[in-house]
Amino acid sequence: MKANLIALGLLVFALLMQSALSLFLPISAYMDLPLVVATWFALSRGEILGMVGGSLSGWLSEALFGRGIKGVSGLIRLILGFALGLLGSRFLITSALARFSLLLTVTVVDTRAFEWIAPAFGMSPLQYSPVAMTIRGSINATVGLVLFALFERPRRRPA
Amino acid sequence: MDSLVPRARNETLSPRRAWMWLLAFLILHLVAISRQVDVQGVSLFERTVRSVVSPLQNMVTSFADGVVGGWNSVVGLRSVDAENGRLRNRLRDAELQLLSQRAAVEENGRLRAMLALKPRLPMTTLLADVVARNASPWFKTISIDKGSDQGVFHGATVLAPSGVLGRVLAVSPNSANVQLLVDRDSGAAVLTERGRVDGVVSGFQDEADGSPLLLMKYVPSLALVNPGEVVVTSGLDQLFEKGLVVGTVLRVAEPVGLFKDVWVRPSASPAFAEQVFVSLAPRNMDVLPLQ
Repeated sequence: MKANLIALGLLVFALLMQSALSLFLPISAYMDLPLVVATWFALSRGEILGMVGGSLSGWLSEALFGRGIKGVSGLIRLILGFALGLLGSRFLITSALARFSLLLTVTVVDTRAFEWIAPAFGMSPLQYSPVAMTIRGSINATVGLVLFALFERPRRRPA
Repeated sequence: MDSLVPRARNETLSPRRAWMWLLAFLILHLVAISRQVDVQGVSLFERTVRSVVSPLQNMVTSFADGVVGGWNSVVGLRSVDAENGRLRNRLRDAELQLLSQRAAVEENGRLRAMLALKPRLPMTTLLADVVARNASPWFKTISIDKGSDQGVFHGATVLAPSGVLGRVLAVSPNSANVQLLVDRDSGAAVLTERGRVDGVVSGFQDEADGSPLLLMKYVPSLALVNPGEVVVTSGLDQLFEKGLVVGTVLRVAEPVGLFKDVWVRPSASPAFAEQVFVSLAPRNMDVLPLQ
């Protein structure tokens, strides 16, 4: 329970950091901290919490920074959270290369799915060119690698 | 392949149950999304999230601002002495200029009074801090730290010193979300200042470098529009007051049929806006209450 609350707290913190960074680092527009945290959440906590984390990250991001109908990103991340939870509950994904590829794929799927579904709800989101998409995915994956290592840092136990 | 190690599951959740949960969540989401269709204004969920998160957002932004400001101060101290000398010289020059310009200002005031000119800004405004900028990967929006409690209303014009930035799209008591003019879904009726050619601008991304531009549509193919010309709001859309600077013409496309496209470089850059002006009750428009 405590670990889940911490993970949820991290999700809200990621959202706040995303908004604060947007003021000082223009490149942070390419970064999606809530998505990275939701990915880690799903991989480490399984399907149900993966769905909750993914869905929350989408809904909160949209409620704060989106416009038009809310919940499309939540819906996409719900499915992504489920898939990642399923993957995470069956495999331990440990190597940097596998994690990088996974985060890159998650970013591309999340972005392209939103670009594809959002027009059905009357929204015209930014369309990322393949180059911009690769940059976005790579930045997210790199940030994700660092954050994953940070989250999984072994805790010191008293001797 | 040791990077993908099969995991022994501690908490067992049967595949069937997992899929049932997914189905339940999916239905819940679809209901939540479909309930928003044809509902105007800000939903209760959005208002609650904004009310809860905006104080935290302000706190984090102020903290980060403080850290960056502190760091800049430390770094800036190194060059402060040389800059001090330069500024003293400039101040001396400015004082001389001020003396000669004071007379011109007084004369200007007299002439203005004689002609009964209105103040330059056609509305009362409120100063707001930007607390988040382009934080969503898909939309061009900013968040500001003023909301309905301070008089900000849905549809209020948001200005930077150099021109129009956008308009308020969602308001909560102490924060508001601003849709930038460079967003793909935005739109404003404009005209060129010199040629008085009408058109509508909306957000567009430069294919060359990805920078945000404005695309001016519905410009008659015979109309004379030149690069460098200033584009201002025409007020015909009833969204923006007339005469606010929008940008300058960057390039004009070859006419296709009856119209031609004109690319406009926005004068107000959202990437550098730290403080913005938000119009309060507009002078010439009826204020519609939010809901």
